[in-house]
Amino acid sequence: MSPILYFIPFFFILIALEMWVAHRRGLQLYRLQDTVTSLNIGIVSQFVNTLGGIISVAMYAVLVDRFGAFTWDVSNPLCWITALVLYDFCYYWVHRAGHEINILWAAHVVHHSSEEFNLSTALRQSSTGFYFRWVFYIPLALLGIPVKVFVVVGLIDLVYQYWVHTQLIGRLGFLEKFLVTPSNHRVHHGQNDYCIDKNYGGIFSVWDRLFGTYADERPDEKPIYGVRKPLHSWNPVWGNLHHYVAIFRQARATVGWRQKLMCFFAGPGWTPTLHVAPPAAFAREDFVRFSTPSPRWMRVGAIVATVLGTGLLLYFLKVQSQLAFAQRISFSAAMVLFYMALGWAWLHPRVLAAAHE
Amino acid sequence: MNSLALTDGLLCAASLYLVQNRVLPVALRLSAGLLAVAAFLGVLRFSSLYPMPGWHQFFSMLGAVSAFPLLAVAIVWPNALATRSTRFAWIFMCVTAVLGVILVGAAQKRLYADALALLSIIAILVTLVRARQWRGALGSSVMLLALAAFALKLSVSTLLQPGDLLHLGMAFGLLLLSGLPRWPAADLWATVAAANRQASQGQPQ
Repeated sequence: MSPILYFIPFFFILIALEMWVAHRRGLQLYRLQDTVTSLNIGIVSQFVNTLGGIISVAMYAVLVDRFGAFTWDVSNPLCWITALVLYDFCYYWVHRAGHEINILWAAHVVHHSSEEFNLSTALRQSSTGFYFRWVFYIPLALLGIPVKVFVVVGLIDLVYQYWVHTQLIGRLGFLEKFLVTPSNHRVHHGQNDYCIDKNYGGIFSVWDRLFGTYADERPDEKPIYGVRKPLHSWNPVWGNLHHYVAIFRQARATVGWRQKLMCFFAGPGWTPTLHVAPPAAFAREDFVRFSTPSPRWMRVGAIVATVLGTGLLLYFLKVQSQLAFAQRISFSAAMVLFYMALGWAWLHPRVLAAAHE
Repeated sequence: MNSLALTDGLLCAASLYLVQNRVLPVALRLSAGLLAVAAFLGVLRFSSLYPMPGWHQFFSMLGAVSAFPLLAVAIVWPNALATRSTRFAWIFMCVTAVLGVILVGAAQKRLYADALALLSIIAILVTLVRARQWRGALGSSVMLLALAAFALKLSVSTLLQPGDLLHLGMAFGLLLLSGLPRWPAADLWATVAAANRQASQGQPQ
């Protein structure tokens, strides 16, 4: 049974709690369309990653078995602490590469595509990141960190990052010096100039301080959340694929194979006319949140689809170990297709016209 | 201390010589760096100073699937992006390394590593013969023979094991390829390096 199954109820309880506190404070932190999209992206990623995750862990297990140099005593707490610190160090580089190499950014951009910043944003996880993430953890396999320890510290690292996606918690004093906190993670999700390519840490912010990517939140310039090339869609599958499509289109339109390669491997801001593309200065006043009309029937439909998807996901996570591989793939593919169709339908011109009426 | 440790030490020294030679293109230095790491781990392993056979095997595999192809790219296409640009040399090395880890490390397709190393050296040899770079051609021939000797498990009496022949052949070949005095490629690479410096000074930072 997937351990994430146990965390899902807590995630939803905390989202409800955050909504309630925000409501009491008179803050507008949630928009239904954005929240539903975040949850649906999370659901899709869980369906895909139950398969992708297996590939990553299997790869890790083979590498540990063949090349692992040291034997770790798993009964020693120091083993777990060391593994967690090393995992977080590798995570820093996974995350940094995910922002600074275009083809890897295509996988990660979905997490940043929300123009809100709340606990539901944390669930907006990539469905395609599994193909490259394992590579960055090869050093742990070479060190011989056992698979069990690797999986558990990976889960700790992931779950830790949930609570930092909130605007309700301010600065946390001395903890800001070495931990990833809501304050410094807000900077990471901002698209203001001072926020770009900053604060990549998972649990510890010391890596950012060491490698020069740390930035404190500025009280005089609150982050505007989202990305410079906005998604403009509520479709969870398109959210995962749109940047790949953009890269391939750009590469096809670019002349010369060198330039084509640059489309994939340069930074996300690179364009064929610029070798080093400084990000265009961010104009706060020009920013407009993506929004589409959402009459009552559409809102009800979105909520029903999300509740249904969550229920099916919980069921899938519970029974997946008893399913044959082909059944798992079929189940996951059906869910992905369902959300793709739904996302497409919500933005279909006829549906939008009906919503306008 | 056995002969494998000594010959791996020689290979490590030869590779480090290439790494520190700023005239050489970045791809060549990077591939030499990877071979130096593998050779250093070989020294630790075979001298029993700090044996980590898994790491030595891992980096030797990376040498075959990544360093040799990068070396070939540097010589066959001296103006290629992967030859001249640090970023693209790293990308090339990472992509080939990942493929190698999947195919050889995980799927155990050892043939992929052997074939890639062999093809890379053959490509280098053909290029240098066609360019009449005899010193470099000799170096790549020695590398090819060393690889063949290792694959066929040939040894020279009891003195040199197949691994020794591989290490010595690679060290000798790398030194010849690096453009020791009078090898014109050194001039070629110096010109390319100067052009790169000029181009990078002209680029926006």
